Amino acid sequence: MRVASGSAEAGTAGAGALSFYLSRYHFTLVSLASVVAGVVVWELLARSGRFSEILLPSPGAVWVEFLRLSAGPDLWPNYFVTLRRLFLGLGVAVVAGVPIGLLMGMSLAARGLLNPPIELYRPLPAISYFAILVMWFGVGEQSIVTVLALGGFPPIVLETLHAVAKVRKERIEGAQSMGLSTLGQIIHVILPSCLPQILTGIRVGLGLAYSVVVAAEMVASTSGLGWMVYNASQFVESGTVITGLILMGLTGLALDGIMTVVQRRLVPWVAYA
Amino acid sequence: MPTSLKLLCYNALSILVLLAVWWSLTHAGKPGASVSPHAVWARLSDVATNGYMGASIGESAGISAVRVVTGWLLSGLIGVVLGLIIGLNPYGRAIVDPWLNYGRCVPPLGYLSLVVLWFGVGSASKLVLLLLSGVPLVAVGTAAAVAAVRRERIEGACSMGFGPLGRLRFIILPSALPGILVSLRIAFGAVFAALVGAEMVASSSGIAWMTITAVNRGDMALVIGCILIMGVFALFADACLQRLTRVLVPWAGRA
Amino acid sequence: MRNEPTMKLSDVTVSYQLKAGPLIALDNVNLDVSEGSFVSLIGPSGCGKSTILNLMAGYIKPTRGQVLMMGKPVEGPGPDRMVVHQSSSALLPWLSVADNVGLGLRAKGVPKAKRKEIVRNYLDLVSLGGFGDHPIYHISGGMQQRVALARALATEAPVVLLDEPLGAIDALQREVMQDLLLDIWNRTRRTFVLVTHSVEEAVYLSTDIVVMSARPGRVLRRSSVSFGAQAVAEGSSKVKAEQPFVTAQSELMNQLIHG
Repeated sequence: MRVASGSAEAGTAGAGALSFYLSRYHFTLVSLASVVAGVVVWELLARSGRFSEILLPSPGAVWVEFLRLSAGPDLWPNYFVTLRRLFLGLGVAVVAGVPIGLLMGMSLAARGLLNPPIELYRPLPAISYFAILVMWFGVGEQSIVTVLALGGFPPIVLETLHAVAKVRKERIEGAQSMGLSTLGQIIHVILPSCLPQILTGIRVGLGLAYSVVVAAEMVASTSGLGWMVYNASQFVESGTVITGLILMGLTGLALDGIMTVVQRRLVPWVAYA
Repeated sequence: MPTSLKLLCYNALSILVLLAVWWSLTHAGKPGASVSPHAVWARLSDVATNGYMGASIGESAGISAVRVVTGWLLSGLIGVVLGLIIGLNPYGRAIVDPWLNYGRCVPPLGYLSLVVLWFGVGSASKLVLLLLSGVPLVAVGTAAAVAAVRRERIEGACSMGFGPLGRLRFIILPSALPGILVSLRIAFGAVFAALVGAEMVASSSGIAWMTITAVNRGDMALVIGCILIMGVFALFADACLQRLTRVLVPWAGRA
Repeated sequence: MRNEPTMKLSDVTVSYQLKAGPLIALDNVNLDVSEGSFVSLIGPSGCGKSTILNLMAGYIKPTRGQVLMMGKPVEGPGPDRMVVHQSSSALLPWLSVADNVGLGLRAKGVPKAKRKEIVRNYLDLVSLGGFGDHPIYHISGGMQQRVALARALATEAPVVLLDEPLGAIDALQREVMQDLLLDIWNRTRRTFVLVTHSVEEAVYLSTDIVVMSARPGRVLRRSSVSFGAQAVAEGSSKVKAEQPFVTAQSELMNQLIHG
């Protein structure tokens, strides 16, 4: 009740962590103003003539560059190559990670046997073992999709595993009383109970894989958004570089937003920020 | 047998199996594609004494370690201060939020091309890259931790007569500490990953530069050796951060 | 006794502007709390009893009307009115039991040696002597609640505001804590204001019971009781088993049910 809503009529005596509150509407307004101000500052800096146009093109110039690239044969094919790699790699990670996580959560032997290799490679940046994959599979789709699958795998497995451990005993016992088979218990009780955390794991894995795909394309590839931007930087085409960078950020935001929507739809009983 | 002991046995078995698979692969596989543990060790000690393209392996690993730790510490410092400001001030949050969220969603290596254009391939550009990958994570995590401080605690401090600084020092900072430490751990992983990528793409020193050079020369033993070194470093750093969390937040999960 | 009541609400209204329309949490409430009394606020949820406590603590301000302490308007939270929350969630896990109790003294700038002495006294008062160095998370919920109480008392606040402090404690502990509260009130002669759901607690502990009704929050009636004082005088809680207490309890229950 208290200070929760910004429109509370009763005055508040500044007892919270925050000394005052903004309504959602005002917050959005200020955020928008901040973005607009940022673009204006960028434009002014570009016009000031203190920086060469090669290093800092103006927002207008980047927009023109975007339109030019968009009409050309390079941007969108490379963009979709990156997305295809991302979804293939993450798909493999999900298809492998969720069942393995369930298995590890339910069987002590599986947990004891599979935990060491996962924990040993998990802290490594995926791009580091990408080096071995390139030597094995060569430069190409196979090594990139494999590194994305390996990079996205640990958070999905671990979240699933931890979620299984936290499934309420009463729920499983209830299912057993009703005569559900082990498979039935997994499908009707364990999997739905774990779904919120599994989705969190997929979200984290998606973020990791997205970072890795761009890095891998820069290190060893001749296609994709990461390669395109890196290649442009070799020829000091800063318009392409900045266009690519903005596209990467917007795509990252969109992927995160999609995961938020998926979480809200699939597990509406959990609160997400 | 108690459960924990069983688990330990399975763990040991698992590592034995891993080593056995590695060993048998080197005997069955085609030469050059896989190397034995022994060969990796021999190659590493060779590079340690004779160096590799003018840099010893110790130097390369040391350079990378210094870069990561510097980048991480600076990210932590800037991120925590920024996070406190936006966590405590709604206007600050509204102004910075879109930029931080955007920054959080850009793959760190995406910045590399731009940063190299602006700052060159030297150490300045690497530091900027590491800050770009670390600061948003720490700032967002800190702000969330500050926003989640329990109201009763702050009200209690107000009742006792603490001013804003007293509340920050006695209530808000310690309450937010667990969340801040989690974000620092996540940021370490991100900063390390960004550095490895940057060294592979645009650098002439460091452990990841050595790795990618070895890849280009088909030196599998050195590639695996370098990755093992990075793995040990990552595991060690993660263990240190976990230990730090336990020392600083002994009440974690209990209050 | 002074003429000015220790705490006074005069014509206080608190309302919130919600999307569905205005919500009146308190409607034109008048309430006097005299020095040294033990006032219980009881009523159905939504009757605004916690709102009254928050007004007195200074966490919120009235939409209309005035909240006065010793004749002066309450401007915000202060060390002269300490609050004990339910379930001791306001305690700080990174501080020991003693440091939690001494936190308010630290805010006041009391020197360390003096602080230690005061803290020891109050820990003894809540029967926690010897637990000073323990971490908060090592002691039971009931003990944590006593730490919260000691912390509120340690600042020498003349007014102690209790927000269902015994709500999250098991039945046996609650009996013990009720007697402890009575004992402390009797020995320190502070003014206690208690928000509670428990009819028995209100009848046993209070000098004054304020019954409230919900939607909008209003004071229905106010009555005086003296079972607590009797229990203190007799040194036992056997009044609870006697007929007058049982009658008073069922009367209050009736008022709550039938309004």
